[in-house]
Amino acid sequence: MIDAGRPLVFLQEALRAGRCSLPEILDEHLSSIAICDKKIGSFLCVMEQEARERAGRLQGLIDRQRWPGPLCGLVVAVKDNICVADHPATAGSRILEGFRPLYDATAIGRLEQAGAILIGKTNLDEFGMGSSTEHSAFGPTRNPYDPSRVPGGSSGGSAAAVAAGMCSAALGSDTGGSVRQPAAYCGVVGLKPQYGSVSRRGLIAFASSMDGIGPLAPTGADCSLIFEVISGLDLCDATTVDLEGAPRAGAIRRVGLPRGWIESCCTTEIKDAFEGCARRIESCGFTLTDIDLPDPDWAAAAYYILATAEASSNLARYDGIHYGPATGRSEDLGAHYRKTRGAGFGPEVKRRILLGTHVLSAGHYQDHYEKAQRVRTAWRQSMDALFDEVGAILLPTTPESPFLLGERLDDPVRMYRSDLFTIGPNLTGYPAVSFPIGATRAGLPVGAQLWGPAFSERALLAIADQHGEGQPFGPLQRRREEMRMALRRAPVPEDSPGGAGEG
Amino acid sequence: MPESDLPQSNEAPTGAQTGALCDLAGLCLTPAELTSLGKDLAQILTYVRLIDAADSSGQLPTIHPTQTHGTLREDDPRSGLSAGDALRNAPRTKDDHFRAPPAFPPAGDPRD
Repeated sequence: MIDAGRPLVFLQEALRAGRCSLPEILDEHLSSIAICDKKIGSFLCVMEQEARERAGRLQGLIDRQRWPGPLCGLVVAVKDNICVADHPATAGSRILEGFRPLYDATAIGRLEQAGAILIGKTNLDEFGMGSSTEHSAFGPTRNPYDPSRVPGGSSGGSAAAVAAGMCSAALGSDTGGSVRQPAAYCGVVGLKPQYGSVSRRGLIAFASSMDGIGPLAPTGADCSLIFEVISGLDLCDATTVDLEGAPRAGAIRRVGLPRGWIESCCTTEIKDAFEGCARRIESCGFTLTDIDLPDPDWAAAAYYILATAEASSNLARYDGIHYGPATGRSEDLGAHYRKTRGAGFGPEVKRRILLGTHVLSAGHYQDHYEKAQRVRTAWRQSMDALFDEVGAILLPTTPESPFLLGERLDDPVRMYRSDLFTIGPNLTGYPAVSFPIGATRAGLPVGAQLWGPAFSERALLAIADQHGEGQPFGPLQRRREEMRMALRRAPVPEDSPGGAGEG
Repeated sequence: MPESDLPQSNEAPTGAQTGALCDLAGLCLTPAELTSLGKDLAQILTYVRLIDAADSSGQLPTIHPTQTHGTLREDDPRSGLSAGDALRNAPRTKDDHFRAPPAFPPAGDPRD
């Protein structure tokens, strides 16, 4: 038996040496899905038949000494707000039930060209709006380390699938921390690229000035390989940049620590794990220096004004005319819109559309929306000044460890503050990476985060890979293997999501 | 700031105020949703008012994180979607068109 959960470099070595085959690697992941996903609920659809056909075709190339591409051996799950042609793309919403995109997202086309195999679409908070993957119309995803807890969100399905070995990597999207927070809660590496590094074509829009596609994988090295493939200029997304011509971040020597945030917001267990990580990084020759960041609640408040304003505009397209399920007859168009949207959107999406509509309405635009835009400018200036002093900022990804399912559903502000430490880079557009650094006494993963200046993805991932716990044969891998064994033995819960269908 | 220091929420907006917002947003809500979302909105609006304390004087608004302009491709004609493809996901179609209810209610019929 091969261990399909190993980093890609090991799998590629085994594939080249003929010690394993692509159909065998795929079988390992499909078997994990069959056993584990009824307990976790990561997948909304599994593309088994198509994946098997593709694995067979690519293996044929390998057998004829033709290497399919730099991501050969990678079995990738895709968050269900990223379009794969002719497969469901629900964005976790009833309003897109039955919708099948006509084209692949640019990132998907690039993954396939590089030899990756797509295995299925993963669960998310509806339209990416949430921090726990509980706001999905198709039921919650659970944390594989403790199924009574959330996996984070909104890319919780992707993060849990990688952690549980149901795929070797996944794509998520990050508008306010939706790749990094679930990566931290599930003990994997997650990258939010620089805005413009990765094309958004085929990503179902939430807040267009902050949305971005990012990879999640067991190691920083695998995230890096995926980033190299999916990034770069795309003529179908005018905000993308040619990375060859983009300014490259210099080598990182000095790392800033926002002690004030950590002291005032983090639990003791998060602080302890973080201090261990900071000491490891310092012992490798980096200079750590204390820095002051503006109040994190200002960033969060600005974010929730701007993101909901953009969402209320983006989601106006869901009108029940161009796509979406048929609702009953309405007497006129306005009534049809209201009825379709009232029935199709879940409570969190309605909450955010209402908030966005409010902050854009006459009488509130200037003191909410425009004020938040000005705070966004001030935030970016603060970050630019800090990045003149330090090469990166190191902080915990989340102030707390994964919370219990249902714990925050009735308290939206408490839920929103789960993203307190991740929102900053979305306001500036700069990259950030979350990587595993340890565990709580209860065995729940803890993640740290590096924020960097524009186009510093490679430098951030290199530090995350060397100084996180993601290395092969390290303590995280042992905990991950124990978790996977426990998950296989665990009974299927009575409220099981029931497993995903073929899509 | 610690959670205990967060400002307490103001009074919830009235049902009529939330209802007016729903009209603007194109959403039909049940009475129970109107009540609970109205309460949530009051709590969230109290929270986001924390930015009032942030000094943004003299700052220009940031509309978008990139500074790139003029990135339009060459204006080469190319074929678009076929009518069949464009209509493929539509719940109701007629011939080569999307089918929708009339823009104005029939005379005498109240809007819902």
